[in-house]
Amino acid sequence: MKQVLSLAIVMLTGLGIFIQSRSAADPGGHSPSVYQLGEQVADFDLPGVDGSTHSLADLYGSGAKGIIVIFTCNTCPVSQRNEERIIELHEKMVNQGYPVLAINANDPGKSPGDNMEAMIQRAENKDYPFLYVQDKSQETARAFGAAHTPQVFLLDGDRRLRYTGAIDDNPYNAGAVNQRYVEEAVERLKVGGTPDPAKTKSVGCSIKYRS
Amino acid sequence: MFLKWKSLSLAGFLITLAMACFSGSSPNQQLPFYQSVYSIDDILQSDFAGLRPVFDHPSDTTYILNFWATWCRPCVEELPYFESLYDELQGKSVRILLVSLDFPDQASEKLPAFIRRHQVKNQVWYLNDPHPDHWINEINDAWSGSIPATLIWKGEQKAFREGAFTDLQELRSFIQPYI
Repeated sequence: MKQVLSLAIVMLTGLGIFIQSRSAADPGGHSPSVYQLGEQVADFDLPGVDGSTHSLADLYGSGAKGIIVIFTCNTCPVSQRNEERIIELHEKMVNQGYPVLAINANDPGKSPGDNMEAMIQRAENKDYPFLYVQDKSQETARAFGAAHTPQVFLLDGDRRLRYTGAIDDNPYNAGAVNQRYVEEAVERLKVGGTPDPAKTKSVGCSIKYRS
Repeated sequence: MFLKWKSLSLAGFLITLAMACFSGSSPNQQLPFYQSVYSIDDILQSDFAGLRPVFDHPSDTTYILNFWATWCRPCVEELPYFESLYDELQGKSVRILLVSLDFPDQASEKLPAFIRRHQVKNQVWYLNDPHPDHWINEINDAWSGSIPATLIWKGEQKAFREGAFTDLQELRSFIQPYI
């Protein structure tokens, strides 16, 4: 009886910790269990505009020390205003081991301008130097709690989420940026530190989830 | 009569607020409008510090703030529901503000043109504040920053909604407890 009781206590405690670790703020409000800061994210395999599928493991395998995951899309005017910045961010960071992985999670049914054909077109026209993949099932976006575009999720070398939020402090005007949140967060990771701020917010277009 | 006077005075509240903060210079001049509110083409404009007094204003009035932009398709699609509320709530102690998050370079032409074309009746407030991380949580902790988003409050009671309303009935149900 005593053994059963202590087993039950252990199980309940474990459950409590589990619930606690999964019930913090949900940026998208779409799911009760989204990745929290410090949590290791699950890998995924998503088709890119280059015709291949890409996983986090592939990127780490080719030398990435961390990955700048950005949920973005073709159609959102805020994403379009940040496109050049994302290109610059990638070009600046990829040689330091932190490539951008851009994910388009908009439902092409609701937003036809975000289908794979349109993604290929946009990547070609704008000469994207980073991987641009499609999350058609929206499972990855839901797991991350991605709410809007553009929205950044910075992973360290251990696939742990270390920063979420905005690229910088001025989403509408690249010329008037005071603070480059993602670059600063990467700099902190490079010296074994913790990004501060580790969480920011910005204005954007809601991700078009299937209802 | 009392009610009529009250709603008139409420209607004048924002104008009074604007006038009180208005620095006296012409809107065509370079305006140091930070921490103040001014009006161009019937659109009130300010940074977040200028909007903040709306949140602090103690009253038994219901406030409905809808955050939108002309570039946001779902926002534009739900705008007619808020316009219907404008008519339905006439005579009630309710203030509806359509808080625009348009791009600064489109706010002086595209936004007023949109308002004229659609004959928008609700008060539009252009929130021109370049650093959203400084004010999104002040509006609501649960807000990711995506638009549309709608905040309603009356006294201490409040509700927040991120995402568009699918129809007028859904918006009516959302505001009902606060009217």
